[in-house]
Amino acid sequence: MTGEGDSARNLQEKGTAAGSMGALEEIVDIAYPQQPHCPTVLVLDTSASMAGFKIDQLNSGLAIFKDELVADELARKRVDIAVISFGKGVNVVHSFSSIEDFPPPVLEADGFTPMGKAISAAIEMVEKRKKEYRDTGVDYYRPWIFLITDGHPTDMQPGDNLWNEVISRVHNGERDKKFLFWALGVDKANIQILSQITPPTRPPLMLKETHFAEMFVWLSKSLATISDSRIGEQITIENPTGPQGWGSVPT
Amino acid sequence: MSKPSVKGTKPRPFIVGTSVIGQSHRSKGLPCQDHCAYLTALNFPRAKSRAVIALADGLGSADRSLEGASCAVLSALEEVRTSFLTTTRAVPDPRPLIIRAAHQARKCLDDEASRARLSLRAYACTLILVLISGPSVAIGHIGDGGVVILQHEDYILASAPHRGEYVNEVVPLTSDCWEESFRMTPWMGSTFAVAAFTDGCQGAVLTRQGPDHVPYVPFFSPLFQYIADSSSHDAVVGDITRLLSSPRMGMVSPDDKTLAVAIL
Repeated sequence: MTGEGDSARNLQEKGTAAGSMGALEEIVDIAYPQQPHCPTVLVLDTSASMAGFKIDQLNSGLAIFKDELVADELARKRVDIAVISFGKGVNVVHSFSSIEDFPPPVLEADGFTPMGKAISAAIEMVEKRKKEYRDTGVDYYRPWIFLITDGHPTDMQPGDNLWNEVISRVHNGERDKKFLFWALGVDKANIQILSQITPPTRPPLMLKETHFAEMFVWLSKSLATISDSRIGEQITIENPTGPQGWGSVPT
Repeated sequence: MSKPSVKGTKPRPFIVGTSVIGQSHRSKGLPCQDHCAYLTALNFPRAKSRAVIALADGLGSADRSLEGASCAVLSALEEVRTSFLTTTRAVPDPRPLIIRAAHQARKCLDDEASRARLSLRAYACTLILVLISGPSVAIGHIGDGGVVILQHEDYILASAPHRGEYVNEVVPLTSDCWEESFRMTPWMGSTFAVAAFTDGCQGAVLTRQGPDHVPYVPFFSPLFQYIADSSSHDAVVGDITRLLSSPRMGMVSPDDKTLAVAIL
């Protein structure tokens, strides 16, 4: 008697008439919940060394990033974006919002590289955002923190208090699945320092030449994939370090 | 709504259910990876108030999740059929039977993966089992989706979606630690209706009260009454298919959707 579909249905005694009410879809109401959110913080180096072509490419990439995400029906509803810059101070350029409410900023390069404080600010932002989601009953995905730099931190160095605090927060946060931390080196980025900051399981990547546009397309596609996923699934994110990719793994 | 008013003399429990493909699967060229089946004991008069519903949701990117969902549902049903539907033996505690059925479902996935020489993860799926005996139901459940029951005038989320911190945290039946995440209930009596659904329906049929999910009564009340008033199994399945395929449901989730309802 095991069965499914029609065979199982045949086990039921068939009725003689269809339901006489209006169509089922017309009489049931639907809850229309809030979409789950996928919080993402871009932590962007705007120090003086980024001036010129690099900051122009970064700004163009941010506009492409928005266009790509807006074009994805699900990602448009689910990805929340925030931007922190670090150069002349650490600035929250854009607080969390939907991608549709994200005007791509035009960043200017100036100042030093307070990367440590910027990373700490990003971690605090995602924790605060998650609390807001919880308080308002909004489901959410694991946040992404995406760091882009062409240099090395000027507000911390290996062994000092801020360094130890930042390393601990990044590594423990990644290990405890509080967020996903990515670091991308550009041009003359100090990859040895970046390698110590990033979680051991996710070493930094280097941007090939100035493939900012390709990188932001990849980031938007990856976020779109994540925002339509379940953790038990085998999620495949396009490998950015392949022959056609925008990145390389530094050696 | 309190107990649905019942027209006609159709047999009880009256069960309807179906799965429909979601927009995201259609656009990716994937099949519907939900699976749903149910058995009543109408051919076994001494146990005719008994029935079982099983549904599984194959995880989207698992290569063989369609086969996994089907395999889990059918093997669980087979275990329940032999131990519950074809006997009048009393089952004061349904949980040993439910866990046995879940083990059979998992064994089927292990065997399929082994036979195909694939990773078990390729068959990842959730599983919901609903046992019915007269006015009582009992549930076994791993993963997301859920089960809502109507007792007297109360709509109760009898088995809630798995809750991790992140919305996409699902422990499938293929997990190494699946038994730790498998939830079961004892018999819950005085039940008039029960609905089981997969993740694709979740947002349409549940709302939030703070961190907790609660049944969305404007969905379930007319649904249960409509099905209680209906007398044609196939017509109601068609109605549910149209509901689950409707643009309104598509706005809630692009995922595959399964809904099975029993009027007890």
